[in-house]
Order: sequence, then C-alpha cells, then structure tokens
Amino acid sequence: MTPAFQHWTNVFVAICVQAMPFLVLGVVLSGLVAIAIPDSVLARLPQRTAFAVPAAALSGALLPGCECSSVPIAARLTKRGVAEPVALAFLLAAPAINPVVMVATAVAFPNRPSMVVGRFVASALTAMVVGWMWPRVGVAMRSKGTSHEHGAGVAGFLDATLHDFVHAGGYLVVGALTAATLQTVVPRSSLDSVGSNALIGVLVLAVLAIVLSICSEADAFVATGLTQFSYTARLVFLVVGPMVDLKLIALQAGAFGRQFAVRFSALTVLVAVVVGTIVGTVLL
Amino acid sequence: MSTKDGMDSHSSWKTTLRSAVGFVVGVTIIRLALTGHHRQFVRAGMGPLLLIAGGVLVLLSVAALVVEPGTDQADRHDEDGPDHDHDGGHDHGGGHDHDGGHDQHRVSIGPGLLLLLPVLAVFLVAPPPLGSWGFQRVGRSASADNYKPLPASSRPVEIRLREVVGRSDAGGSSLRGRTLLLTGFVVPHRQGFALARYSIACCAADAQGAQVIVTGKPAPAADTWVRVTATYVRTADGEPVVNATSIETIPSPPEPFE
Repeated sequence: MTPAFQHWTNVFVAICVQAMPFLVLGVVLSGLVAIAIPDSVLARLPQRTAFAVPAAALSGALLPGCECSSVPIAARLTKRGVAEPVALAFLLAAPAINPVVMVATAVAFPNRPSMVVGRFVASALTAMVVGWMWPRVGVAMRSKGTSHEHGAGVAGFLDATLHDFVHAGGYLVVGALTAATLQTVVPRSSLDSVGSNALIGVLVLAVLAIVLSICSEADAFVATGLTQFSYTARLVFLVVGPMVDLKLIALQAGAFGRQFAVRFSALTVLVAVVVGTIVGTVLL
Repeated sequence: MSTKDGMDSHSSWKTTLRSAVGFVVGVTIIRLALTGHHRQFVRAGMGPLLLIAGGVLVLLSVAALVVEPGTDQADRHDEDGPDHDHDGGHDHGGGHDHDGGHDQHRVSIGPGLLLLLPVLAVFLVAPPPLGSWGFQRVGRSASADNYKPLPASSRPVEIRLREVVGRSDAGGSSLRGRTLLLTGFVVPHRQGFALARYSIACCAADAQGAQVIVTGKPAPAADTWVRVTATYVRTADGEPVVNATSIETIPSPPEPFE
C-alpha cells in the first residue's frame, strides 16, 4: 500500500465521516418537513420571489449545520411546493451564514472583524441574486418529475428519511472520492506562485474552494493560512466554498438531476465571485 | 393513503437493502466514536455527534424494516409523480419521466451502495494516520499572533509544534534558550530531519502542517512518531530549528492531530 493511497484513504474517509452527522440532521429535518408541516402553513409562505427570496436567504442563518444538511431540506421543500428560487436561496445561504460559521470565521480572523461582516453580506447577497436570477436562466429540477410521496405518519417519515439518507449518502461518497483524489494529486503548495496577481488570485481561490470540498465550519481556518492571497481573494474562497464544491455538486446531482447541478453551480460560482470581489473591495 | 394490491417484492428488497446500508453505516460510525478511532479522521469533539448520528441511523434502519408494509403502500403514489412536470425539453431526466416511481427507486439504490466504500476503507484498508507523504503538499498551519509568555522555569516545556512555529514567526524571542518537549512524526529534511504534526479544524481534508527542524541527532526513519527534548536554536528560512538532546520513539498517538 503506497503512502499516496494511504493519504487518499484518510482524506476520503474523513470527508465521509465528517459529513455523516450533518447529512443525518438534514434528512431527519427533511423527513419532518415531509410529514410535520401542514400544506396550509407552506401555502401561507410568501409567494412573490422579490420578497420571499431574501426572507429565505436570511432564514438560512437559523440552521446551524454544514452544507450537507441543506440539500435534502431544500429538495423536500420544493417537493412540498415551495417555489424553487425560495428553496434555492435557502440552500445557498444556510451553510454560509449560520451562527456556527460566523463564529468560526471570527475565531480564524481575530484581527479582522470585517471578514465576518464581509462573509455574511457577500454570502447573503449571492444567495439572493442567484435566487432571483434562477427562473430566467435555470433548468427544471429532475426531482419534481419523479417525486414520490412517502405517505403520512411514522411509516412515511421512516421511509422518506432512510431513502433520502442512502440516496444522498451515495452521492456524497462520489463527491468525497473526487475531492480526495484531487487533493492527493494536486498539491496545495502549488498555489504559492499564483497569489500575487489580484484577479488570478480571486479565480484560483474560487477553484480551490470547489476542489477542496471542506465544511463551511472549517474553511475559514484554511483561508487564514492562505496568506499569499489578498483578503478579497480569501473572502471569495469563503463565499464560494459553502455554496459550490465537489461534494455539493454530487449531492445536488442526486437530488435535482445532473444538468440542474451543473448549471446551478456554474451560475452560483459566477455570482459568488462577482459579489465577493465587490464586497471585498469595498469592505476589506 | 390509497391502497392498491399488497406488497411488491421489488420495493420490499429495496427497503431491506436500504436498511442494511443504513445499519452498516450507523454501526461503523458508532464504532469509530466508541473506540476513539474517529480522531484519526475528524476532530475529537465530533465523538458525541457521531454517536447520535449513528444511533439515529441504526434506529431508522431497523424501524423502516418493521413498518415496511405501510411504507410500501405509500410508495404507490409514485405513479402520480411523473406528470407534474412535463413542460417540455428542459428536463434532462427525460428517461426517468416515463418510468414511474418504482424505477426511480431502482435507480436510486445503486448510488446508495457507494456508502459501503468508506466502511470498507476504514476496516479493510485501515490506513495509518496522515504522515510524511502529503506533508509538503498541504498548507502551513495558521498561527496566532499573540502567545502568552512560556512558564518561567528551567524545566522542559511541553509545547505544540504549531505554537513553536507561531512563536518563531513572531521573531522567536520567547523561545530563546528554552528547552522544549515536542511530539510529532519524522519527515525527511535536508538538514537532519523535521518533526511534523498536522492540525485540523473539522477533518483530515482541511489538514494543515507545522514542522520544526531538528539537528544534533541522527534522523529516525520517516513517519516514526517520536518525543524530542530539544533547545530552540534559531529561525532559518522561516522555520524554527531546535537542537535535540534526547529522542524517544513512541507509538502513534490515538489523536494524531494537534
């Protein structure tokens, strides 16, 4: 067994183990959404995306989990008839602006509180802009076409939750396999030479955030070590990471379809880079 | 809930298979947490969360089997699903649209089996903790700017490698003349060898490394875990250099990260 394979195995298993509690939390909450929220409550949610999208993005601050939790919940919300832009704004915002992530960012950047503010503002804005734009540029979700109801009561909850876990878990493993492989093949230290150019720095860290696929609660600690890059580039890293990475793309492909995942992630990266760069330039 | 004719053997074995996968994954993370083995992959504090998640998975898997008949009836609603969203050429999943719900279930169990891969990796590959191979490939551990003074005593001070690096980055004056007690694994280095340790925020995927150059003693084999008593000498090329007075080989610690 070569050392490279051992390294790969460690990273692969680590991503899977780290994600498990958050995936379980996500599917359990998603199961509760499936059975415990009456149609009358969902029907009373604001329907106009102009207001509903910002409300959904900001309510993402209430779910203290990593990104693995929010995909099953957003998928369930759309199946229950919540408007796609609303559910997607929640999906993007929840892992990026929840209190645990904000505290972690503050701890990682003790001398730069503007990083915490910048992360919150840029992430919330990105979630809103993507939510607003999606009806114009998006593709349909596959899940709607093949949605299956799991019935009411305990049996429905059990079936929906276990099905969601095994299905999403499988896709998570695909994401973990890919991320571990890229981490093993491409050394992070190869970034050292590219940090000096401001624009290239921003783009490189956006790509790094996608490839590394680390939790939103951990990425600030990695960002703080990327000292060869500008603060703006590191802000973009923190905005992109919780919204688009390999394990998220895999999870979304499982939940919404491959074409959806690709287009949605591409739009999100684009918006996150632009918004993150503007917010970083103004604030940092 | 509408009821059609009885149980479908398809759904039945798929529920069984899903339950089996959920059960195996649940038992695996419970085992990792109970043995403390999880600390090789994620931070130690994740233990309770893993126990809860594993417990939920095991209960869920067993319960889903027990209440399976109700589940199966509910699945019959699937047939209604494909008609919801037939609005044209956008939909990539065209094949799925015509299949009906049971096929969706048949499609979905395949990826689910991949969940067994990390289980196999833990028990069959059973890799040693991250070691010297990837050390130069990860980033350098972030260090704090303001460390408290070391305790005023002439006895050796037990100190983490990343703190040594942090104090060295700050000029090294707080380390001058001090005898340090360091624990880490051996990484080959052009001057003697380096003592190294990873630190993580969440899991091994976000690992970053700290290293201290050790001189004065012959280099042990790469990846050997050692406890070194050494005196801080200087900071050269941004890296702290210590002069070892004793080296003791130790088994790799249950918590490899610092």
